Amino acid sequence: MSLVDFELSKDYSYIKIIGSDFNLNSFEKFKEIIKNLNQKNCIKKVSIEGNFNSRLLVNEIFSKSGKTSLDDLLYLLQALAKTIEDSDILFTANINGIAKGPAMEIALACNFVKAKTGTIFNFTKNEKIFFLGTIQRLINILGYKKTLQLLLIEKTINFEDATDLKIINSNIDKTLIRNKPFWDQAFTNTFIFFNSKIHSTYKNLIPEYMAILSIIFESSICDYEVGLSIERRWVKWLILNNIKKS
Amino acid sequence: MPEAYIYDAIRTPRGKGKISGSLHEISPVKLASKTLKKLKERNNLNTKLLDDVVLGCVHPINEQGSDIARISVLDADYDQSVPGTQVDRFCASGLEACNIAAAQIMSGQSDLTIGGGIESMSRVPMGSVGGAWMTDPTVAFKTYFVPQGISADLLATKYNYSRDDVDLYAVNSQKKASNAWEKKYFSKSIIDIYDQNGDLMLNYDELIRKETTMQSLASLNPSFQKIGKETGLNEVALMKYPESKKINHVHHAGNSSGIVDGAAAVLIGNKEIGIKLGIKPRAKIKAFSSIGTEPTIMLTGPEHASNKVFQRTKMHPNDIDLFEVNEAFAAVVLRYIDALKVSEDKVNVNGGAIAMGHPLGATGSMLLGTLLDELERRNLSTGLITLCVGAGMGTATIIERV
Ligand SMILES: CC(C)(COP(=O)(O)OP(=O)(O)OC[C@H]1O[C@@H](n2cnc3c(N)ncnc32)[C@H](O)[C@@H]1OP(=O)(O)O)[C@@H](O)C(=O)NCCC(=O)NCCS
Repeated sequence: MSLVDFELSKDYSYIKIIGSDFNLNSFEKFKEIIKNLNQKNCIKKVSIEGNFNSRLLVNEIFSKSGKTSLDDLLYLLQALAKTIEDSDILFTANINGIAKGPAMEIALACNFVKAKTGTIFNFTKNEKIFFLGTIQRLINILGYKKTLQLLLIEKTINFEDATDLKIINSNIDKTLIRNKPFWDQAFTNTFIFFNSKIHSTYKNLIPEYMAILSIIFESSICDYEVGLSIERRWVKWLILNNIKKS
Repeated sequence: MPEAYIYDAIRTPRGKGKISGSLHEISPVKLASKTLKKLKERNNLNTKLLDDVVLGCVHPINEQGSDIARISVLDADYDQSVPGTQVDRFCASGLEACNIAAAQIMSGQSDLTIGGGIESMSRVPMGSVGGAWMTDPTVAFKTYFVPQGISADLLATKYNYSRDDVDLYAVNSQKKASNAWEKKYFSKSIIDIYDQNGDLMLNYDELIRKETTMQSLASLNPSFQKIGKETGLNEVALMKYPESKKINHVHHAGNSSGIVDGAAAVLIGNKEIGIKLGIKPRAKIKAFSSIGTEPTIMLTGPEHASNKVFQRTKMHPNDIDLFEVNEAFAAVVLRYIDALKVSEDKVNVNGGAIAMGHPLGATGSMLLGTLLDELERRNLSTGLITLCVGAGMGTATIIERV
């Protein structure tokens, strides 16, 4: 395992992620690169290639205790993905290896998400890696039902699954307006089912589930932008809750 | 007959009823339950003693649906023995909820109740609840249905309120509301709203535009002119009021009630329960009434509901020290002042919904609290709250300090 570094090609057409793990410093560094690219008006397309793995970063986040620094950090993470998403540059993520947590969110925020055979997407709750915008982007791609299924079955998604789910190698329409359920019968039934299933299986013992379910529930009612903020609140809640417990 | 005493009244600040509004990220049930929790905390309430919680809500569907009163009771960790019921009298739902809660005390069937209301207009938008009045042609034709904005303009037309008249009223509403906030007149009742992490979401009515002037309002286009003209709604209104010939569209975003999110709760009980709980009554609910009037002009209910309650109590408008007349639209209040011949300086002395917003199901109970606070501040005795109500109704309540 090694900390990632970035190699920007001379013509600015690609960024290579070298190494295997993002931490906070690498995130900051990456943000600077994107900021600089955005300031150069001539760039049309940029491809980002490598591991989108942020296990170290997630550990860092979840060990934060100061409320203010936590806010700053959460804003930073979501701001980076938003910058990519709102940029005039067309970004392509070429995932080659592992996608986890906030770094996976960077990938999902790109205009095109591609992946090499063998790529693994990690959504397991124990590493708390799916939070921080990933859920919002998944809801946009998959809809609330499939997102619920994906996040709650707790398994790693291999290349084939991700292809089937159209998380990768398909054209994600960023202008797609989330198909709001407006509380149809299916929406109500889905949440009744998932809530009771999770509740009966894990009792009240796992706050992560409360957070995931709540983020998906609330985000399906509110807009995408609001969803990001809701997700941030729940991640914060989760971290504060964990700290309180320990 | 037992008296119904008001022991406490609280409200949330009002957040803009938009995606960008500060209360948009909190669900209606949480907003209502936070209000209930605060009421319990402030009064050191043993909730086992509560007989009922009645909450007004005008769009009781989706996340506001399925008896939000009872669900809020449970979410607020009240004793499970406390029931809850949701009521809908359109814009007066919050006041009606307090009236029903008071009626339970007056009839001797309850000792302690809560009346209040909730509306998250940013999350459950106006109109989303549907309903036959607007949609069923057999009903809409027969009753000459038009939406309230057209009714407000019809009201202004019928009683000759010019654009300047309604704008001046609105400028004053903004001034009075800003002044009240600056001088902390609302602080007794306002509860700050925090999220699940204890982060502050909102602690003031965020719709207020202190800087509003006649000039700034003059630039706003009438809100209901286009739909009135293009969809035939003006013609429908004029079929009912042929003498008006043409509708003068004077209402716009600056002189109509704002769309906001908010909740309120009022603790009501008989004398004995106050003694038992060690809390002091602040006022009593003396009398109330609701009434139906002509539904196309729709918004003249307040004068008729007030007259009805005056008749019952053998009172006169002069007996009232302060009035809260919901500022659904500026013309509604102007008409009320003219119809009842009351002095303008007794009406909405701290502004109203034009400046601070009208969270439909909650407003009536908010106004009750606002009025009580102001009666206490000025050391006056008697006040009347009234609201115009959809489909031509009106509701009025008289309170008296004890
Ligand atoms: C009248 C109505 C249609 C206006 O809706 P809207 O156009 O969405 O109104 P907004 O509050 O968003 O205001 C629109 C714009 O008007 C302007 N504006 C509003 N109030 C203003 C004021 N006091 N001074 C200057 N400008 C003002 C602003 O430019 C504002 O845009 P901004 O918020 O981006 O700055 C709506 O408020 C309404 O339907 N109210 C009545 C609700 C109702 O029927 N309740 C039931 C009563 S029976």
